[in-house]
Amino acid sequence: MDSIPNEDDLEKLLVAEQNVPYGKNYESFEDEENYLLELRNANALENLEHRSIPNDLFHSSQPVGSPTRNGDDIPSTLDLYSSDNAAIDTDISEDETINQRHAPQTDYRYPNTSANPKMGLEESMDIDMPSIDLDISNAAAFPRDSNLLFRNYNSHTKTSEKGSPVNFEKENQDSNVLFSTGRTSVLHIDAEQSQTNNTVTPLKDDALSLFSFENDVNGAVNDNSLDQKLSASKNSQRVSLPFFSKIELDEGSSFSGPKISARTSSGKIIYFPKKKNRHSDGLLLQPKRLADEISQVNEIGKDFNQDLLNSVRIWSENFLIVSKEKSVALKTEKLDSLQITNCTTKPQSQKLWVDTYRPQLFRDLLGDERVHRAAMHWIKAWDPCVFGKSRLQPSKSMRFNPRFTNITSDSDRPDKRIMMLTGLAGAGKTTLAHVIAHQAGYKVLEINASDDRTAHTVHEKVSSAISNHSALSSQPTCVIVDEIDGGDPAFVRALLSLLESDEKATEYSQAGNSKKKKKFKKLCRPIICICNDLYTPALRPLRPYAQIIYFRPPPQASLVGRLRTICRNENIAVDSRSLTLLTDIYNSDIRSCINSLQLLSLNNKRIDSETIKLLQPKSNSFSTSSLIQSLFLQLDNKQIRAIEASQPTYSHLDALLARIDGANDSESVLMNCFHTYLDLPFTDSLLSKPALTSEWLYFFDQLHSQCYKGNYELWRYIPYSIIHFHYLYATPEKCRLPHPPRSDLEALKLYRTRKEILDSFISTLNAYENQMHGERSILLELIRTILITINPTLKQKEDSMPRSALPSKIEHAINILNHYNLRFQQLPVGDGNYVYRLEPPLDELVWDAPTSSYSVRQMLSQELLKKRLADIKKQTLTDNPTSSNSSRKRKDFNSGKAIKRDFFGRIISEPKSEAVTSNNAALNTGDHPVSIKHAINIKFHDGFSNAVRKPISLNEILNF
Amino acid sequence: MSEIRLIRAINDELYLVEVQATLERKADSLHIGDLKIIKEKNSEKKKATLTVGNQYMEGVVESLKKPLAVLQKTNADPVDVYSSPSHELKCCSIIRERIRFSSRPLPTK
Repeated sequence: MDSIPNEDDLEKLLVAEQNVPYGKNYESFEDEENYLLELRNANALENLEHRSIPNDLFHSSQPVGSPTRNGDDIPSTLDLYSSDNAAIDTDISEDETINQRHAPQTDYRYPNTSANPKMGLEESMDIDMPSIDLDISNAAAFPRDSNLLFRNYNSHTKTSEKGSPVNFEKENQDSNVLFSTGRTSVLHIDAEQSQTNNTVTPLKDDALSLFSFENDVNGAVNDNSLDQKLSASKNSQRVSLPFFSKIELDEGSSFSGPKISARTSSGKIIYFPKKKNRHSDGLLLQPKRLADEISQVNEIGKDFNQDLLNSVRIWSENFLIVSKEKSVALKTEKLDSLQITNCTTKPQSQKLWVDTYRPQLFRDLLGDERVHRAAMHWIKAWDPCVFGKSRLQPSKSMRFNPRFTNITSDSDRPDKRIMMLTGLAGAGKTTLAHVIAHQAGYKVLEINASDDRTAHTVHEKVSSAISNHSALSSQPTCVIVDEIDGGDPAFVRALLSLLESDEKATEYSQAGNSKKKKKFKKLCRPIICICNDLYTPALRPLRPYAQIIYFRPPPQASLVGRLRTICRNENIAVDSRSLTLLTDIYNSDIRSCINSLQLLSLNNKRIDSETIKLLQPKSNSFSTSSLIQSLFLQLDNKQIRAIEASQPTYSHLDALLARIDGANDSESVLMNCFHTYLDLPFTDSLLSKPALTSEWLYFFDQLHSQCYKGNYELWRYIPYSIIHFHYLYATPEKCRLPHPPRSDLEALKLYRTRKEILDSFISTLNAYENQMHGERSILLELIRTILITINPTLKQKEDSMPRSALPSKIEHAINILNHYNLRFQQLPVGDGNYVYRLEPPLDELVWDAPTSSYSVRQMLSQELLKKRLADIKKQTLTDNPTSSNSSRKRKDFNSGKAIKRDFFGRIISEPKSEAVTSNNAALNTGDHPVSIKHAINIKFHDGFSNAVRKPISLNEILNF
Repeated sequence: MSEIRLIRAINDELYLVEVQATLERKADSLHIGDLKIIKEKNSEKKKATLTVGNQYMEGVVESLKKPLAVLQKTNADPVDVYSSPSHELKCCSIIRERIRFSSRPLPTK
């Protein structure tokens, strides 16, 4: 595992990156460059190579046209030193000329470059001569007492300072003196440059341009030597080696801040400027020690990079190998043989462990093998039908087994055409179905609850898949219908029709009726249905056709064993006790177990029982019905122990309380309990338990109302008012829930509709009565009496009496009906029968409302209609004389025109006649007859037209 | 039910007039009312007004997607007894536009 870069490694890397002066981040390129220039100006030209600056970075600071960059002009420095002296001589002369060619430019720009050369001299005095021996590579590059080199540098110095008008000679002299002491001509120049640097640094803006120019000079002067060293060091196989023989704190210099000068073993002095204190934080403290540290850091950085590269490569290789191995292993299902993988969560977290560790082969299945075998036998029984007779042989042997004779008794197919796997969630039903289907050589078509499961789908997908060979693959299809109980009942019906047609087809085929056989399709492929609850009403018709296989969760030992295997493969440290606990919590639901294991492994690779105890059982067990089941279920000691083992501070009652608290609607839980508890078999002759319950219910009511008033802090006590049901009524047997009605909701609905009826009735009352009675008394007193009155009980004789001689009861009823604007409405009730319903239906408001027979109501309604018509007539007759425009009407009467009245007895043509008269008045002067003007009237039709466009053929037109 | 009638209109062009109403005739008169087609200044759209008696409707002129032909059928006399009777259909006009009165009639002043 050491080869994997983990976070610590990354941190180290980060630190190293910060410490290595030139990291690989080219983003800070500008900074880098500036830094570089400064460094060079601070005489650290040679130092550059030690800092492993990429060459291009270095060169980029130089103008392109610089002759020093031209490889043709400059002799290869390597050649210079590896070849003999004569060759070097010529090279130098060449060099000289080049530099001379460009030197005037330098001097022209920098007349002051010839600052005190003494300084460089002084510094060069500090050179630790014996240290030269230490650096072999440099020694090789610079032969110790080579005059050539001496001259070389001398000439360089000369050329570079040639143009300076002041004390050129003197400087040259100094140089000569300097050179006699050692080979530090470069240093001399560098000292000068540091001087210029000092003068320049305050002018920050100009600095860049100046520097760049100086680079030119430096390049001209020093590139050779630099290249030499680079190539030399390459020769000696050493890259980026900072060799510091001595580091001094040089505060005496004219630099603004404390400055460190370091000397390489070859005697070069390196200055560490204060700016860019990437590695100078500590440098200021302990120069000597820090020098080592720097070199260490550099070494570490280098080594680390190397290490990182190596480890990444190894890691990736490992991963490749592992993943390859894994796939192979999964295919061969040798989970145990899986190489313990590098604990990288990244690749594994992309797939659920449940899928990764899903058994692929029959023998890997967990649980009762007999169950698996039964399922396998069923699907094998299809072999003769699906694969032909050749595959009959293995199944024949099982025919001798008396247990399975019934399965393959009739023909080439099992008697039960479909298989139904039923069991708890996570028991492995789907896995079993897939495994046996694969094992038996089928291609699986899974239809899930999430899929489109309309009846149409069955006929399209399933029947085609079952009855035909797929063109794409040679394997026959086996349909697995997952969660059949959860879906559309239409799907079950469609499946059923499939089975029925198959039944008929086999019937006719046995009878040899080939004609009818064609009509019904034979079922030629196995269908496996999977359901959680076999006794869902929707599945009832399917059950007779199904080979039902009951699933039990696998035994805990094997479950724990499998979990341990998984943990080992995933490199999780976990003991079997906590795994047992896990299976306890999830009630042997292996899917949940594995899922939660994966979840826990995300955080840490060690899972102990403490973390497992934090897990909560699956949330779907919080459904109200299951909660009520467990409320009324007396647990045995083993189960209680299991619960209490998972959460030691809890009793099982606490667990129940937590579940009640978790139930989203405590009120509905209580209502359900309330509906259930009296049906439970409890012995309590004195009815003390129900009395206690009523106390608790009262407590609940109080709490609830308080909560609704805003005292939500009381909410947490609500579970205690419910838990008493468990105390009082829990039984060892599972209680049968009577599917209690949502009585509160229904009551609310009923209340609303009845309130609506009452309101509509009251609105028809006149104000006086409304005020007199009030809503309450109308509801309680008036309505009942009205109902009694309008539903008179008539004797048979009275019923058949002639209408003219109505008994007073009827007349009274009609009056009442008329008064309260009630009527009887004829409504069809199917079968051509009709019923008269009171409108508004006041009888719904009254308990045990009086009713009357159909004939009575019919008579009443007819009489009522008559009476209303009569009333209207009477009203119009009495109204007319008293109306305001009676005088005109009387006039109209006089003119002999008949007055038209509408249904309500109003005069229709009144506005018209007015218009007529006005028009008459207006047109009396004109010639137009009024009649023509009003000969045509537009009668507008509201709404839309019902017209249908119909195409007409030419023939029709011709024969029209 | 709306009635569709053909009337002879301006420029010897026939318009199909759709009125969402029934025109109730009380007297035998061919004169129904006044139809005016107003062309709006800025747009291509045309408006129409129909004044019938003291009622007045506003409508829109729309071009028909499929133009209608007005056919006149004449029964030519058969040449002899044996030949089948022949019909003549004369295209009198082509209706390209219709005037649709779908709004409620308004009273005139």
